[in-house]
Amino acid sequence: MKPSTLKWGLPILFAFGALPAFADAFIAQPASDYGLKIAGLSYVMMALCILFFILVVGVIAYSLWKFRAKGPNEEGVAIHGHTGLEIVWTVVPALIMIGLGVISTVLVIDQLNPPKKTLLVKVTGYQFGWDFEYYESDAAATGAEFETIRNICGNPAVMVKIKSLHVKSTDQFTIPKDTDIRFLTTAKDVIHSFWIPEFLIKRDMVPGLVADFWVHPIRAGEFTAKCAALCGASHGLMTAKVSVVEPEQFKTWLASQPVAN
Amino acid sequence: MSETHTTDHPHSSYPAWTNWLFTTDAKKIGFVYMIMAFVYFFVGGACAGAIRIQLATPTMNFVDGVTYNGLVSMHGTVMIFLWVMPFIAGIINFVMPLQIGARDMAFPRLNAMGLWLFNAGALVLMATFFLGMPQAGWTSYAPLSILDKKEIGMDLWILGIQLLGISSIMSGLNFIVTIIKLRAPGMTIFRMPLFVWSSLVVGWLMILAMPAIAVTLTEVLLERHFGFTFFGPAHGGDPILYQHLFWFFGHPEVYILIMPAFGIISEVIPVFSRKPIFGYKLMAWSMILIAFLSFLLWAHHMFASGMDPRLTLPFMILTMIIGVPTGVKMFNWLATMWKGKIYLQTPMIFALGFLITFAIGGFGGIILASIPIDLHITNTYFVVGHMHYVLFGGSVMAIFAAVYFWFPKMTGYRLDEKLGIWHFVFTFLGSNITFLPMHWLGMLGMPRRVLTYSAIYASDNLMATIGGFIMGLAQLILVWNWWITLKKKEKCVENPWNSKGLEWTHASSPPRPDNFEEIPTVTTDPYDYGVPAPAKAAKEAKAHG
Repeated sequence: MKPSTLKWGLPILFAFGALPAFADAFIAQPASDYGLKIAGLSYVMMALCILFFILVVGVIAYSLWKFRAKGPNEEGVAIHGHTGLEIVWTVVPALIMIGLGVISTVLVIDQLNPPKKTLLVKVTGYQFGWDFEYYESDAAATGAEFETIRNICGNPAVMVKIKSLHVKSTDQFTIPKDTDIRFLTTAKDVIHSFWIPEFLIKRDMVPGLVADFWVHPIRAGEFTAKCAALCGASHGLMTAKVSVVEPEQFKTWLASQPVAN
Repeated sequence: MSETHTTDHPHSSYPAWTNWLFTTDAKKIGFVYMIMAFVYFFVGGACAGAIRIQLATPTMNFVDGVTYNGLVSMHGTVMIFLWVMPFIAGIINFVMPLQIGARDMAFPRLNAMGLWLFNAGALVLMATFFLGMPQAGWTSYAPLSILDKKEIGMDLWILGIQLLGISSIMSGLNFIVTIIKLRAPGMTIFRMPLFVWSSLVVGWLMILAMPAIAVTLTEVLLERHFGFTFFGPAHGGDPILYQHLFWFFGHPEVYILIMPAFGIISEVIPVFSRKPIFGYKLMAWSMILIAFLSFLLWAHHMFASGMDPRLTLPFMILTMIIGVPTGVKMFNWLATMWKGKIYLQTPMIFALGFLITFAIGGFGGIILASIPIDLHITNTYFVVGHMHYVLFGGSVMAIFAAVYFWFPKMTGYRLDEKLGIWHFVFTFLGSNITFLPMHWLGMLGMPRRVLTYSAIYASDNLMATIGGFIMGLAQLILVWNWWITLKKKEKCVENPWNSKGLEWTHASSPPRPDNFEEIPTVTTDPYDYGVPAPAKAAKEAKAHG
């Protein structure tokens, strides 16, 4: 390896390597495996942005140092353009976008194909609070198709087919670690949005519509669910405590909850 | 247009100020637009100040929830519709006819009517501060905006935006017809300065995007008071439909706000580098492409909305595609400075500030374009940070560049350089201190439009508040600069920046009511630097010999 490669390569590598050290300062610490992927992609993006930013500021700084006018009536060189260069800075960003697009699409598809057997948690938002209802799906077919799950969850008549573990809570709820959990989001009055930052994903809660996303928590702890859509005067106060606990603890907690209807 | 055409009535018996009220002179209309824009800039800034005081600490109790949401709604509305948009209309009215060698806009009376409607709409919006502010944010998502039918703020908001929308459609139409029909002889379409190109593109954006919001808000009004159902789920309406309609207007609107900034920066950088713009045709085409694409990616505001996730993919791809022509513009501006002769004066300093802050805004946009990352940070402070880097670091920086650049043209006096530099330093530092921490506040977990937050976000929020006040107070330096410059009345030279634009080379400062003594004939490309004209070469040879 040439010394010049080392001279420039090492600091750049170090910069990339050092990024995760700032993880806690810049991105919510992921509590799910999907969240880890999102945080990873965010750091790659951030690093690319920092590189391009250094390029932009570098060119400005160099130009100001090198191409300053010294007298009152100077004029620059009459360069009108350069087709080759313009192709380069069209194609290179386009390639980066394609790469980002492909990775993003893979992650979208990941969300579109949840595991067949999941714990279903239906979250209903209202001004200004939440209902949480738990369902367990043991029939593999219920979670197979995206359309199916929307129909099942939006249609109470079909919903009774799912084994119902009905638990309501307004200010605190518990979910198990190491379990595939599918959140179904809807609302009663206006649009709310269900967001646990540590899962690095959110979904709006829209009256008349059931949307969904799924997570696989890998870290136990106390988190906060937040409403992320302006929903009225107390929007800023619309939060709920979330405890992610070991699966056994979750069973105990669930059993201790009053069984509804 | 006849040679005797003049739009004022010097011999009328009306008092002098009615000249400004009844004027059809594009320059006077432009001037009123810009002055009103700055007035509302400070109104919107006061809203922002109140918001930042409330958010200075997590336990602050400066305003209640209703007032807070009202301030949030009005800050966005005022800054977009009553600050950046009228300023754009004003600067285009003043500068564009001069740049293409026209005596006035194509439809001077329509122009005046646009200004009247703007003032009427602005007054209606100002009334909400006294009668009750709208509660649903500048986006006014249904069903929140249709739920409380007694809330007068919402109805006033709809009325105000409708008036402003009609005004914008009139302006847009006028820009297009003027540029197509009234160019001076020799001013071919590819000899137009890029600011004129941006005016043409923004005209199209205005007449195509504004009807969408007009229809949407009419539907909201019908649903609020006349028993119709469009968006309310209680009677089978679709809340997601509102978002599709709103963002079909809302996304092109973002480009209405930034496109003239592209034009301004494309004027300032060649002039202060004394070098032709790099890749003129690509710069013009990229504006057209960006404007066209801006109509096709509205749903990137809705990735988390609950719309079918499969349909979000094309919007992500189109959003990433629009980053490419935007990047091209960035690189072409940088290349314009290369091997130029750079004069680091106030308009150029603000243009360089634009390049840096708009770059950060663009990066935020690329990060937000990625659906999986967006699902984490949409509706958080990351978006607030990104959007202010684009709108403040982009549009407003460019507006300041335009103010320093064209002030001598409008008044004949040049703004003080030293005060201008201080204005830039505090504006630039203040805005970055305010908006940069918002990016990680959002990434860490702070939603937007909240009036309190968990204590772990306290230090970054305090920083943003301090930065906000630095930025706000910095604007007083600009006002002070105007005051002393207009008081000193020191005439500056006709073309202080050595620009090649028609507005500098063929019109006096300030220009006469009909702009030009004689309509010039254009023989060269814009930004014709670096090629010594025969007369000039001969003069230089004489001086040296």
